[in-house]
Amino acid sequence: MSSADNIERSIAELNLTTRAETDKRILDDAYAALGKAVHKQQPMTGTGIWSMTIRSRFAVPAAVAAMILLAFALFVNNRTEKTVNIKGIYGALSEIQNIHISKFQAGRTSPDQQVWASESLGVKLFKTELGNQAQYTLWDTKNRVKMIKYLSSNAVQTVPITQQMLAEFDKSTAGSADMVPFPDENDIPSDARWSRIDNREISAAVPGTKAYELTWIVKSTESQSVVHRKWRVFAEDRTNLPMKIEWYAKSSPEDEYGFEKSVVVAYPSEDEIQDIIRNIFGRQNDPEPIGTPGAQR
Amino acid sequence: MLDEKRLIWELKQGSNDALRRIYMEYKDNLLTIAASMLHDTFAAEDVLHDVFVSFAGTIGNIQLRGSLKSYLTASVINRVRDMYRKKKHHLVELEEAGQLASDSDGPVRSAEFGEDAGRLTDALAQLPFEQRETIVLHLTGGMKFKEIARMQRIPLSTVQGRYRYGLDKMRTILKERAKK
Repeated sequence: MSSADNIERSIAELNLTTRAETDKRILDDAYAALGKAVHKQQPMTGTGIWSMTIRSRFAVPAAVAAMILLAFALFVNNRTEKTVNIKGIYGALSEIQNIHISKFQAGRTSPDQQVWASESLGVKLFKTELGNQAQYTLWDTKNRVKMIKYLSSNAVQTVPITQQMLAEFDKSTAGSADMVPFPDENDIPSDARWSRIDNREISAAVPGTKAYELTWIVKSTESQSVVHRKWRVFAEDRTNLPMKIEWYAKSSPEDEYGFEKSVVVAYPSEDEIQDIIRNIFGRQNDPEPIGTPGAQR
Repeated sequence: MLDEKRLIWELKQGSNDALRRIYMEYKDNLLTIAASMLHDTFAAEDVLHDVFVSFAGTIGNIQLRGSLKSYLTASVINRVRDMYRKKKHHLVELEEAGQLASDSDGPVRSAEFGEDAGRLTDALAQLPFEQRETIVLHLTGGMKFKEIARMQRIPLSTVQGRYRYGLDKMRTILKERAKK
């Protein structure tokens, strides 16, 4: 083993294998850490500034619209109803410029996390809470500035966005993780099942929508274990846009699906998103129609 | 071959299965890297534990710039460096290494590598940390010199130099040992 070649080959061939008890200890601890991390990712409070805005501006028109849709539905034969496939949902989402998402964990009535995003304004606003520290974080990519407002002190911190930060941010927020079951429609497994929900009680839960479900099985490569997943979407009749999404899972076919989380979606205008940002970060009578009041001034 | 993009996405959804698949794919190689660096399999297992628990616990903040394997390898190396820095791990010194390697009751479980491999890891343990790191990352971790240079933020020529000097020194150590 004296030549450099032999030494290199011998080092390259070194191989240790973990012991079964080590695997168990590491995986048990890692699962626990993952569970906490996923819960923490969306740990929020939130009185729902957006919800309040929506209520005040659209509550009445929305109710009227819902009644009209209901009345219309009564006169339309079920057989003539349009049924969308999941590609229709992905397609509708791909054209969206402005969105507001409220995420709810199972058993929670207030959203764990809220995100407002406007592609046309180049802004993403997150409301998050870490422990007792609630905060708004605004990524204003057009003005290249990140603003953080800590609700405990009302202090605002402004950080310039570098090219690298931007690239990492884009990567981390790509794919609308909690909105769709797979990052791309082409990733949907061929054996996944898409179906319309006929149950009236379920489909009436979100007026003006039709409910659909995608079910698929996630198989482990190393063990025999599988997870049965279900993604339920309430898609708006006219646009196919998701208004509510629910996530379920179960470990065996005989079990009932367990509810994991839901996402409520709204599609605000640019002006509405600007209003929200201005209310959080800007001066009361700020006339400038920009994503980030106070940025670069 | 793992579909890393999808696995990370599933992991961010809280999938234990995705975590398990990643662990099963990389655990042995990462353990070997840590053990080669630390010359102590128990400490290497602790490193592996810390790396995966931290990886799972911070999944929401993780943004991969390269491959998942490179990310995990870098995490292992950082943990190993921390161990050195904090002096939590007892460094095996030049003379001590040979003694420990022949001591089956010692903390260094060289026997797990086999006899020849045990000699190799003993010799590795006698190299300066940076040379050992370069050799292990290149040969055990399968990283290119360019990747190592990027990870360590040093010039490519420095990486190549450390690798060459490290191998020369190992050859000398092994020759001397063979004479004894």
